[in-house]
Amino acid sequence: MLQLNEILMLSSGMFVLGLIGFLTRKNMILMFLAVELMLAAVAINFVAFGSRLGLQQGQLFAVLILTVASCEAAIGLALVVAMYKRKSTLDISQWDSLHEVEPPKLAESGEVEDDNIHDYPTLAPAGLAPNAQSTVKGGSRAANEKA
Amino acid sequence: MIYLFAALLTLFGIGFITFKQPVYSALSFTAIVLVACVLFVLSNSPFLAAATMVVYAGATIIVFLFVLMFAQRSKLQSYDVNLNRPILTCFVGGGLLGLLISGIRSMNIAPTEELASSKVADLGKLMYSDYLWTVELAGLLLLVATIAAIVIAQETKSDSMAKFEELVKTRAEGRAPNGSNS
Amino acid sequence: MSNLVWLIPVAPLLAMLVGVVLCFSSRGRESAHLPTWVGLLVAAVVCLMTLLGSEGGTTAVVTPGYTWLSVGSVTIPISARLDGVGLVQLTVVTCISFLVAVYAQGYMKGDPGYPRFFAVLSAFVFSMVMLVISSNLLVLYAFWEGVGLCSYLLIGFWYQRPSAANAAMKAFLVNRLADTAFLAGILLLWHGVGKVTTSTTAFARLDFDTIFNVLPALASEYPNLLSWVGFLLLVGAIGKSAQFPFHVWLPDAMEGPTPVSALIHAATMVTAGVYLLARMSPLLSYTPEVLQLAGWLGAITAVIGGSVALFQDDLKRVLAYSTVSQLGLLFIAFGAGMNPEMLPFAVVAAMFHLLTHAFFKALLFLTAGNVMHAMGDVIDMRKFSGLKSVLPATHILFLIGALALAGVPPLAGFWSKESIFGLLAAQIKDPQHGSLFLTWLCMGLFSSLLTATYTFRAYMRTFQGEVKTPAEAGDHPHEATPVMLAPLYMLAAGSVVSGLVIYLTGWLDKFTLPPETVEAPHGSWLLFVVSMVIVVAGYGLARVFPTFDEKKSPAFVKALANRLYLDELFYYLLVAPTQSLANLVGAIDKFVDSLIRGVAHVPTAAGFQLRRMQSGIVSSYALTMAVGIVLLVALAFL
Repeated sequence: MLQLNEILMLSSGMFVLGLIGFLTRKNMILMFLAVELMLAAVAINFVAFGSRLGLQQGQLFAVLILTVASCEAAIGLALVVAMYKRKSTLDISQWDSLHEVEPPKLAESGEVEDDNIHDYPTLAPAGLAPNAQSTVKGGSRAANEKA
Repeated sequence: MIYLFAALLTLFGIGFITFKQPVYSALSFTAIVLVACVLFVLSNSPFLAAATMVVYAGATIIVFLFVLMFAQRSKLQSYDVNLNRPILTCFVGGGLLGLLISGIRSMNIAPTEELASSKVADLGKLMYSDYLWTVELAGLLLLVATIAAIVIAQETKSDSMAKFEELVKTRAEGRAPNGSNS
Repeated sequence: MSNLVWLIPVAPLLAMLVGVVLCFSSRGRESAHLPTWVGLLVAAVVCLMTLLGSEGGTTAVVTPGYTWLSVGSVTIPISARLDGVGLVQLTVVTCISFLVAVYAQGYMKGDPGYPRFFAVLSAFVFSMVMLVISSNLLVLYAFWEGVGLCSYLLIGFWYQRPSAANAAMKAFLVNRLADTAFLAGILLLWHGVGKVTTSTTAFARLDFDTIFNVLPALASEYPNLLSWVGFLLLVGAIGKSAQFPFHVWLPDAMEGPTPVSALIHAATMVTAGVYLLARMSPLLSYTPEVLQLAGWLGAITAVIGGSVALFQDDLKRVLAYSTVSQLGLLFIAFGAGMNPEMLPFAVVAAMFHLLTHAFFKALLFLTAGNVMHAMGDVIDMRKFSGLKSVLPATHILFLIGALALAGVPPLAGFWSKESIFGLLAAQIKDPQHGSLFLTWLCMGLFSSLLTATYTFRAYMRTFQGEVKTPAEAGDHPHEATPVMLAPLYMLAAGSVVSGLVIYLTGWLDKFTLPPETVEAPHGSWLLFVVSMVIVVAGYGLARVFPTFDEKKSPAFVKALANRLYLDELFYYLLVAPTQSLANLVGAIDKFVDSLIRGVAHVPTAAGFQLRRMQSGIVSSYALTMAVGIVLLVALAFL
């Protein structure tokens, strides 16, 4: 007969195994299995606590977990199938289209160069560009003084 | 007794993680689930143990294996051979395990002599009286998941994948009775 | 009549508003002069009617107008205050402006900015009229700045030309320099008035009536403060009236269209400073040292302006320096009012010369505009000569204006100058300041000599000699259109008769002198003779005056031709330090900016490093999450 804390330790070990499996395997289906493993470990905890406390609710909850796990497996597998149809591989690392395209350089990222931001506006000495012909008087008058 | 279980878990766990053939990994998973079922039994929950064995080790694993087999290539795939950062992951997992165990140890749970054996009838009474709505809701969830699986798997319809689609449909139909088992 | 006073500023204001609308409309641009004509004509007619119907005397009539602001106990009313001096000034402003506007219709025809010109012209007259009639020093200051703004817009009318844009900015900035002092003076005066009286509201403390009422108390209790106020007001006045050393903006203001030059130099802007001194003469009578300074500045300006004018080749620039020099005479007149009992006569003399000068200087500028028009916008006297036969009407008109300016009797300039010199001559025997008056008289007479010389010289270089026209003039230089000549005839008539009439009848005295005062001091026959000799000598000098080559001339000629290097002095004294200060501040700003940007750079750089974590691979995310969970749980155990 196992004590409660022993069962808890075992379920922790199972959980960690699931975690390591999820993190290390690249096969999507196996990753799903790893998740199922972690769920089962949690279910063990519920059952163990319920049994210790003499309550049926622990088992009930485990049943619900099983149900949800089944749902997850159904949808997950459907997704895996759909993804497999796209790329003909189960490799999770092929699905990285959300990554940063390439490490961008600082200057290209919309960052304004330091020199440009200090391009202070200057008072235009001459208004608009000289368009002398457009005015009647503004033409060739001898401007014999420097301004 | 705990050492036995721990040894079994470690053995199958390492197998699950390291087998290069995904089918073997899936079988290791089945073994681990069986170990869990034994743990259920030891926790005075024989019904749950049975249900888990049927649903998990039976139906679910089979469907997984189906898909695995279907996607299986003749030779080993590189993504099955190479693990993703195993050492770092082991450190993280080991750290978490150490923390959890030390936490469980620090709880100082008093050992109990005898546990009251639970009856399946009590569980059934509870499920279909107090938790009726919850169970119904879970059933509804399964229905929705079934429909969703069909819709998702039908997403593309290229000719080369027609056969695959057939399979998915079969699986989705075969999934529904499994869900209602719980 | 006083009910109509508000019509004088409102008519140009409405004209301005219509003009602004026309600026943005596609139709009716060619007739944009009409609202300005009507507005200025109404203003001028009302002025003349008021002037002719007026009994004279110096009593001011305050007409409440418009309450600009009313918040709780604070009310800022804008009232019209009209006395003799103001009325005369107003008449000069509106009449000359109207004539200039009529002339401008011909001169500006076809310019793309035609409606804009007339809109700003109306705004200019409106500001000037409000400046004259405002009953409060602060309101006066507001419109003083309004005049400065309008002058900026008009001088820079052809903003496409760098020289015009620069000249406009120069005029604006130099005026700003002086206006700062003016504003300081106003605030100081406000402070002083508040010390001696508590019966009025804060705003009403600057009402002229209040100021004049408390002046005796102020003078006995705070004489130093009053001196400072007088000094600061004088600085403001010499800025607007282009006196040494702030005269540098005026010659450059020639970059504007010629009607603008006529308007600025003859009627409106430059007379604002003189008007301010006349308006504040009750205050200045308590501060003879300020008047002495005004006299000195005027004398220096008169001589400098005359000497520089002698060596300019640009016809309009000669006239500009002539204006500077004539305004110097006005300031000498104020200097002659150092003795408080003589100040009213000084004001009369100044207003007299202001009036006649308005006539003949507007005439000269507009005829110069005719010359420019005919010569294809060339105004350099080296490039044309002998225009007598080419532009006969303009020739006669210019000659009249030149004679009036040179002071040939019986034209206007002679009489008004006589009244100033007579005032000085009458005080030579003054025990205290006699030598001072004598010095100013000599300087004034010398500047008269210079005036006669450069005027005749400009006349001879332009209209006498062999016929020569620049290439820009085309084959057939033509006389101006009738609409441009008509106002010139009226100005010429004014230049001929106004001096004599006013001098003989003493008509101006009744507007500016208290009725009980004694007979105004007039010049002696000796002074008349001396003046005439000076005119003749000037004519003779002009005939023999050589044309200097820029390279071979002696140093002082070069200096005068380069306007005594005052522009350069201003540059090195004011502009360059300001620019270096701006550069320094800019560098500091850049440094502070770089600090802030450095701080802002940290998260950006961190972000650029951290974004590498976004590998898109689920396993990596999950691993990160797992590490985080482990750390969190570990934290919970600690």
